[in-house]
Amino acid sequence: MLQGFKNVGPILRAMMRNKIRVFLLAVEIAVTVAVVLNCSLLILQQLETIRRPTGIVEDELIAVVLRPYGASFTDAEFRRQTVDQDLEAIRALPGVVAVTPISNFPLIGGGSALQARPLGGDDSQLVRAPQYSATPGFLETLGLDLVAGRRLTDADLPVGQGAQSLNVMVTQELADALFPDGDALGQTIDTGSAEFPDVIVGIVSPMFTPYGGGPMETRIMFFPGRPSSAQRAQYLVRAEPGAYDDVFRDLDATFLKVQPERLVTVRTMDDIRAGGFLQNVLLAVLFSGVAILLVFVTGLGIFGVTAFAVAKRTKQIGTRRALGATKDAILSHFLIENTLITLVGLAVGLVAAFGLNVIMVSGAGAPRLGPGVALIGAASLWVLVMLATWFPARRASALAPALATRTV
Amino acid sequence: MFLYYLRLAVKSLRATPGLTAVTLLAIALGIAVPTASLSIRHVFAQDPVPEKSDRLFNVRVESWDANSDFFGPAGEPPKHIAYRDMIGLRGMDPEVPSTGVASATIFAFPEGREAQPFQAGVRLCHADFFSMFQAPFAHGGGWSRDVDLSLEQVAVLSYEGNQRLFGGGDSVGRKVRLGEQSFTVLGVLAPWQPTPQYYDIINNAFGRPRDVFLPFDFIKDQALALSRVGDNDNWGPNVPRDDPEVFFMGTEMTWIQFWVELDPADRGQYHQAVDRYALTQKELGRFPRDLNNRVSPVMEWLAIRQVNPPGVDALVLVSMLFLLVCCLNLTGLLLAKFLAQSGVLGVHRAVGASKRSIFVQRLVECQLVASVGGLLGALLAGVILRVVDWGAPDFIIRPELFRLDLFTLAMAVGLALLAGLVSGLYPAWRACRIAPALQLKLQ
Repeated sequence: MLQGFKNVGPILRAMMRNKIRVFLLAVEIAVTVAVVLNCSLLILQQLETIRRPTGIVEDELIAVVLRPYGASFTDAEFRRQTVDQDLEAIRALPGVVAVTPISNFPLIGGGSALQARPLGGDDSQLVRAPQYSATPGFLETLGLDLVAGRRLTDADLPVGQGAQSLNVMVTQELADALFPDGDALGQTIDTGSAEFPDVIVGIVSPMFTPYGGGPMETRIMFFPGRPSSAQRAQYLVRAEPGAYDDVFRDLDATFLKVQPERLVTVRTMDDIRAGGFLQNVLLAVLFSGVAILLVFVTGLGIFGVTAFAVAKRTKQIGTRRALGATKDAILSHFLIENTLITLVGLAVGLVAAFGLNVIMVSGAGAPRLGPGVALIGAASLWVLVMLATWFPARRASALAPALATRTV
Repeated sequence: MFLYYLRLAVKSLRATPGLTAVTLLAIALGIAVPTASLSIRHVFAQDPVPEKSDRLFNVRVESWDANSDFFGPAGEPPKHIAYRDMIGLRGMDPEVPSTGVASATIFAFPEGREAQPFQAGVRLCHADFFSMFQAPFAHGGGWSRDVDLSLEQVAVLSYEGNQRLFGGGDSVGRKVRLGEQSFTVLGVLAPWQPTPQYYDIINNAFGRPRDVFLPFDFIKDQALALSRVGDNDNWGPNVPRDDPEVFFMGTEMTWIQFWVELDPADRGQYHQAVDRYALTQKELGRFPRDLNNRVSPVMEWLAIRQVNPPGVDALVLVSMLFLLVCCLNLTGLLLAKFLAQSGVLGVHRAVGASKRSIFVQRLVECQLVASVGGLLGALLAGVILRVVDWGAPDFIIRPELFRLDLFTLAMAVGLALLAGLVSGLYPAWRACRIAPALQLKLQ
């Protein structure tokens, strides 16, 4: 093929005789590269959101929703006892690592948030944070680690019903937002009622839960509690990876054995997650679909146009072969021809890609197009063009020199 | 003449089956992608109630405290209003049709011993809800305005709720047990699903309708013990929750979407009334921020809520460029085909066919391929929409939301004919310019 580049002159002259074909291919390649590059950016952006590490062992978690309809659940003391019995029964299941009732499931794309500030701090120090209420087992259930301070124990659980001061655990991000000097541990905070300030006793490893964007998604607070209302209770169960399916199957019956008068819904954390990331997944899939189809169609188009060019030039090719051109020379003729067209298309396409990117950034919040992605995209497209050219060009090079002597 | 052209076109297409198949595939793909993405956009961006979307207004008041931030775009007041503000706005003079909109759940006990109780979705609203949003009744009707205050135990069932509770039919006058209480059914709705479900755009934009409609103030009924569900934003003073009356009248929690029906000309006047209400609240020590209240007609409100996610417009743009590439491909294919037929065309011209008739003949052929390809594309778009539908979880997007309907079909065929015309013009022009003599000589 290198040798073939010496023949660029004749190839260019041949191309000038087929301006329309060259023009069509170049524009097609230009539009394709512009669109595929921008699609890739959007896909990468969505994947980044979907794939963002959450810090919790979501693959090992099972989410259970209980909806009591028995009248006895209106009694708070009865509910408290039921939570303890539930915990005992679930822990006894083989394959269960840990279990906790929890006020909201993480990763659903929302939940319940509070505003906290150092006790006595002014309004400008308010920090918004998603909050979860759970029994001390939440740390092991979610798979979070203790970074500093101490774990919560059963002794930290609230006594009785009313508002009271509690010991809480927070993520490092929340600790730093509340106490920028880094001395959050042991500090007293106001989480809504100054009469009952809470105390930060422990810091947990980083966690992320989608919550409509912003820094609060990593600023998370855990209260000790046995969240369970007359209408609803939720549990997270962590199962050993090998026993996940067995535990999943047995949960329904285990809860009903403790207390039959409630509806039990058991779901995987993946299902729960789907709600939080639905829009991201949908867009990622759609953009991928368009990009893949576009590459396919462009490849098909290049294949078709080159095949037609080969068919039309059968006689010329035969003549060249008869005059001593090697098979490789014929093959490289078409490869070089399409490379030249591709280069023109890519040049126009890259400019168009950056132009389209400006629209996408302002209209769809897409990331900016960088030279790295642009180069990788351009190179891949050239490979695609070469592949699509290869097959018809091979057929051209296989033409017999004798064809030159035939008229039709 | 047209029929003759059509016959020639069919003959010409059948002469090159391979090329015709590739051409059809190119058009079908080129049409399917933009059709599917336009349908998806249509679902998100359409006017759900064109006949009166300019008469229904969502009302919001700036009730947030001075310092802390809240969710949502900067400069906008909270997306819901608090219960006490709903009461305040409903009490303003002159009275206009208005309703709060919120959600709750409660256990419903269907008739029959074997039937399991189920968690019913409850739509909390006022009497005007049904007329404002044009809810279609299959049987009976809504409740009167006095019931909003007297709280008679009456309910309206959605079509879905009636199916779940009574298996359908005229259930007016029957009793439905919700929690420990018994409600009389006043009306049953026909299937009703505005898309998007604009009256509750925050919590249920594309989901199934709620099962039971109850007068709003049942949320304060301790014996019934509805559990409130849905998004809410909360700040400031902790109000004890034991007494619902004290809680709802005291809390700054915003959780209600509030709607009024107005003559569009009265919008400014009503806005001023809302501002006056906000000033009275400032006197009470509430509403510390500057006046920033909103009275937004349906489409404005949907735009603020970004019901049409920004990515969807990008998808439509990308799909249109995809169609452009397919058109370019098509031009290449048609050019190849027509020029390959140079010999035949030359003979046609030599025996008297005019340039014009060759040109029209080629265009008819393009349009024939385009129509068939367009129909194939519509089918393919239908498949794509089904896949999207199937992939989305039911509890957020109801099944059958995205589907092949007349809108999709018409758009597909329209796009296809346009694409066929645009792609075919140049090849057809080239074909009709073939000089008869030259072609004959070459034979």
